[in-house]
Amino acid sequence: MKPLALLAAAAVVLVAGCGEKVQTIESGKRKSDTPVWQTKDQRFLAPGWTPGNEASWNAQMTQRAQGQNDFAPRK
Amino acid sequence: MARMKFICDAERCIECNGCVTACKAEHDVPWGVNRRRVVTMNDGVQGERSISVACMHCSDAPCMAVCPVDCFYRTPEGVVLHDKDICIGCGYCSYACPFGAPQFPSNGTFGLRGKMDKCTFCAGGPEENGSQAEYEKYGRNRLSEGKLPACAEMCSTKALLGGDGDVVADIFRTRVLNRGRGSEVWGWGTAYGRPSQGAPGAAPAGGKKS
Repeated sequence: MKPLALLAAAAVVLVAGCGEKVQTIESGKRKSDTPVWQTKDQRFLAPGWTPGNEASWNAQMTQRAQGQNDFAPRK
Repeated sequence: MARMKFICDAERCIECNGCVTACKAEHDVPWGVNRRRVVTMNDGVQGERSISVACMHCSDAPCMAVCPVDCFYRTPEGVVLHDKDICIGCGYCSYACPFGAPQFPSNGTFGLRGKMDKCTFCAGGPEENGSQAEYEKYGRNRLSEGKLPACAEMCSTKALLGGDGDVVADIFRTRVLNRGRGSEVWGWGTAYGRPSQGAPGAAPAGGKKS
């Protein structure tokens, strides 16, 4: 009986680590940012592109940046 | 994929502080915090120059490297943003930043120094784009509305350029070539040496403004 109790005690000690809680810093995990071409608020959208479409957003950015170019040909 | 950058043309900046005002108004930036400001060198002396400075969204951002809680992240568009829910307001980023971009409100959760606030390139933060939560913490998210940063878009002399790095570099290069001077400065070859690729209206040196 005694060796059985000792064996059980040893087993408890051995598996004690399995109940340990993970101690990583959860607060350090960032929330994932939504893609920039998707937006919840569509009230102030600039015209000329399709929200949710990456290629359309990229084209819009390139075209919009040309608004800062004095040397761009006038349409 | 766009790689967002700012360039300020010191030859054009007239120190009107319109960019500063636009930023503050667009994002409801609290009193005492300036995400953007205009710096003037040799103020009052003939030949003075001004440039508008904010977070430059560095490719290898020192603020990101020193943050002890790793609250910074870079979007696929190259915009350096941070999560105010993680920031502890320690100020390390402020010491690391060569542009003095990180700002701290004087009345925050952490005594006199609140959580860090900085230019977001009008791209908000980790909250859902265009949400009220994002607006309250980081201000407007103009990029997700298909717009460029308010400071650059409203600049009256177009001194401050913002947008995809390749596009704004092309605009600036064209401008300097037309101006006929400026390309001799140190570092020009490194920054703008690449031949112009697809910049609409890119004119050769000595060309006239259309």
